[in-house]
Amino acid sequence: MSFVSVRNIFQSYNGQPILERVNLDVAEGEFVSIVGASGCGKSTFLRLLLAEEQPTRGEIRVDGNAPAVEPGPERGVVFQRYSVFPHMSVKQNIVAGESLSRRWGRYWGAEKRAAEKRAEATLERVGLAHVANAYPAALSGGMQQRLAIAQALTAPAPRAVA
Amino acid sequence: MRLLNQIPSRAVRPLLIILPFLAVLAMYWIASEIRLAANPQDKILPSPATIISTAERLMTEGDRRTGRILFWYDTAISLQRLAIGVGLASLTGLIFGLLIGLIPYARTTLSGFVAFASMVPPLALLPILFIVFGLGEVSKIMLIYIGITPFLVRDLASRTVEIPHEQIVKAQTLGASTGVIALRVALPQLLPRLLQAIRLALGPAWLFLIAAEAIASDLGLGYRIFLVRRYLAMDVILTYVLWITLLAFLLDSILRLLSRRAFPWAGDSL
Repeated sequence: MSFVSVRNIFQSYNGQPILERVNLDVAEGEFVSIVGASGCGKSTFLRLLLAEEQPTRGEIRVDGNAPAVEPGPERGVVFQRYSVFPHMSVKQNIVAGESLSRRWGRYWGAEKRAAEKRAEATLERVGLAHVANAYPAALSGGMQQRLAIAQALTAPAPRAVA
Repeated sequence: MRLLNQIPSRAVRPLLIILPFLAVLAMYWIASEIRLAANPQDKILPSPATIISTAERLMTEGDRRTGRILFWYDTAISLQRLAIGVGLASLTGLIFGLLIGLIPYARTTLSGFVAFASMVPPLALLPILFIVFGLGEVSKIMLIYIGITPFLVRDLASRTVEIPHEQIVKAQTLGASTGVIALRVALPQLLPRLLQAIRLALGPAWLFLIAAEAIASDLGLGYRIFLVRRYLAMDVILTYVLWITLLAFLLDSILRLLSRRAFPWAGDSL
């Protein structure tokens, strides 16, 4: 049973077909690269995977669940730009990876300290520990993307990351 | 070198900055001298010396009837009305701006209405406010509130919409509900924009304050200016006008510094 299954996807905008009969199976732990000429529908396909848009026909299932109507925790994403939260420090961004799914979106007290410890460990692994208290605007583009990837991988559920 | 690449040196900058002020002061002084030479009793353009001595008198001598130094009481009550009006307007602007910017149902329902409300001329509503709320503090504060809230709501709503959609999608993939997105992603980014919007709204707020005080009040900066106009006491009027300008400048600077301290990640605004 594949982790991500794309069945018979058709997508068109204003009658203009962009994707036709796209089928794909991705097993757990697998890496997939999508290459193509400019304008061939790569970004469209990613938006469909993310459930930002609904396909004209066909369905996409992650981990056997029903096709999603909106982006949710079974999907992780790192965008080309604006992929981290500019008003939080680097460490707070990682903590937010776990805390945003809570009712009020944050941790308090002992839970908060534990989450910050875990965040510090993550930052060590990706080599951003030395800027833990800086804001993303002070980081280089590459460092921001490293932060975004670390943040996407921090969320608890099993997920597909685009 | 092209003109647009020529940058004033550090020595020259302060001179250039005070140049327009000096020019205006010089023009006023000359005009005042001319009028006073022709008629020493002239009250329209008092000399700068007269203005300074009047200012001194206003700030230190008590009113003959009550003993209070009216200058400071006027200042205090005007600032109080301004603070309450602007404070309530900011709260409304923040809440509704956030709702309209983030939630499609709210945007559809409210944005047309807010746009319409912003077209209603607030000063024309003033008589209605006096009838409904009486001639006390409430009607004056309401005028300020009605005057600047639509602008704040529209500005903050469009700022909320400007938040990159990527951040919203990212938050959703991290499991955030609508409430959490509003509270932890949108609201913190809106706060520095709120301070900026308040700074811009203070100009009109002063206007509405002075208008309301001029028409129906017994204390306040606007009241005092319109009271003494009957005696053509330009020295008093100019003192109060310069004082109001100074207060407005101080408030603007305080808000700018506050924004820079509290939200260092937001980048400098104008």
